[in-house]
Amino acid sequence: MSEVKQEYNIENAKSQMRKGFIEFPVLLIIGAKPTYAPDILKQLKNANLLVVEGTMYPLLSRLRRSGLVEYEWQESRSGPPRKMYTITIQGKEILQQLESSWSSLDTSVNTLINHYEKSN
Amino acid sequence: MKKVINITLGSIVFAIDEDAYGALASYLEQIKSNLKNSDDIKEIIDDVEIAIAEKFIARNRSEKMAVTVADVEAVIGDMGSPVEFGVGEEGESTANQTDAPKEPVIEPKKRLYRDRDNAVLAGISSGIANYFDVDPVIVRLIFVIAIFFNGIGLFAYIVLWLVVPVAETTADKYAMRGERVTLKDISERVKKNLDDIEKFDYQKTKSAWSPVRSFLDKLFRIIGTVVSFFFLLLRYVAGIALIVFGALGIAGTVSAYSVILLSEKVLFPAEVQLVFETLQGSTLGIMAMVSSFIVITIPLIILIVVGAGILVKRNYFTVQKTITLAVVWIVAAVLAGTTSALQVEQVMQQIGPVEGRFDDSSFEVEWENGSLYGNDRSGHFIYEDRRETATETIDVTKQEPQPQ
Repeated sequence: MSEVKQEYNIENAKSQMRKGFIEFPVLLIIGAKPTYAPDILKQLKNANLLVVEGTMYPLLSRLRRSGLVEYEWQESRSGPPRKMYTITIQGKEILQQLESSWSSLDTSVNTLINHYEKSN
Repeated sequence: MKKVINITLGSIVFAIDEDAYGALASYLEQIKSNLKNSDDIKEIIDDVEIAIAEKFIARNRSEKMAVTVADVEAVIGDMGSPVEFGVGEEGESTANQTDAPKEPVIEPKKRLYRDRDNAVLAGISSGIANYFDVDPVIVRLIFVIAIFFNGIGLFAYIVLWLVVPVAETTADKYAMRGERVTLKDISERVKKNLDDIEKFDYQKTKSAWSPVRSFLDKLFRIIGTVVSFFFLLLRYVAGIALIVFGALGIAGTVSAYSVILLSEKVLFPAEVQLVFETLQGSTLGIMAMVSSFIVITIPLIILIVVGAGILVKRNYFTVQKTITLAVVWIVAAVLAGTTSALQVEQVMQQIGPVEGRFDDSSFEVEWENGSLYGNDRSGHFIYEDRRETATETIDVTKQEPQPQ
């Protein structure tokens, strides 16, 4: 009956936090305007939402399969053909829902953070 | 000096040196094996290839400068370890990942492959040795010794050659050894493979075996395909036959029973009619019928399920189900046996020996019996007139209640 003490892995916790909701930012980026996959990554990096690139492709494929986004092939002069992702009507609806749930989450977490900081 | 290979990634041609190719190929393979349960592996792999192509271009690799291991490693560093692909794919595994951050969740399953890298003939012994973690020499010895027992060793070897697949890809080779795959292993494995390839090539040119071996390998592969096709055919034929047989059996039983149950006004000889009526008339009779129905239909249902199982390659019978079915069947069988034995006795008593009534020529003999029965039951003698005898006995049974 010995309990193994597991070390808290802060890096892992951070990446879980990002991974958990990364679909929302990706939808926001594609929703703003049609975007190439590498540009989605660039924008995520610019917004300081660093994701491992590898997680991106399964995610995009899953979003497409659920009908939230679709893509078109675009020829490129300098490189391979690229996928231009656009958001669908269904995707926009989902995005709105995610947005409202995010803002309510945001206020609740902020309330808790304020509470925590006042008490310290 | 290194060999250079031409490959296409996202429809762009790249020159890539051997080592880098090995690393890249196994990276893509690892991703694939991490996506096993995904519906659109192809789409994701295409995306990844395109992304890698763009990265190579960004690293200024023209057709004149071959892609090197350093390039591949840098790109892999950007893309992330193959495990990441699997995690993003399934929502559930993210939760598991929190508990054990670095370890892959599922223990790799060991599979039996032929290990051609360490083969003497077809790689069967070394494959088996890998599977059971023993020295291949021991397995080879067992095969050779077994040849002297009516050639069992030879026969087994040939069957295994037909049935067991070769470990072709790196993923197969990992599965063969039951090792789990991590990114760190890949570069080591690739290096080791390249060493092996050099050694192997050298051996191959020297060995007189190799043409014979590759010929035999091809031959066995062809035979294997033919045999497995026949097995497939056999499977379908057997499965369908079982289902059809079971269905016909059930249909037959159901119609037989419905004839018995609904037969009041159906055209049957009076005696048969009487048997049916007695069956329906008493609880004992109904019990006999229900239980015997169960006894007959359970095996027929099992036939159908087994047939379906053969068709779709699934075993539908858990231990629990099998035991339940067996118990139900045994209970029904015992019930059917006892109730129908009692019922037969009752019917016999009610209508007397059936044969005598139909067959006039044997009447004289049966007459003795008839009178005996009459005596036993009610001390009532049979009339001498034949026709009246028949009607009389039936009347008796209808008017008088059952003795007992």
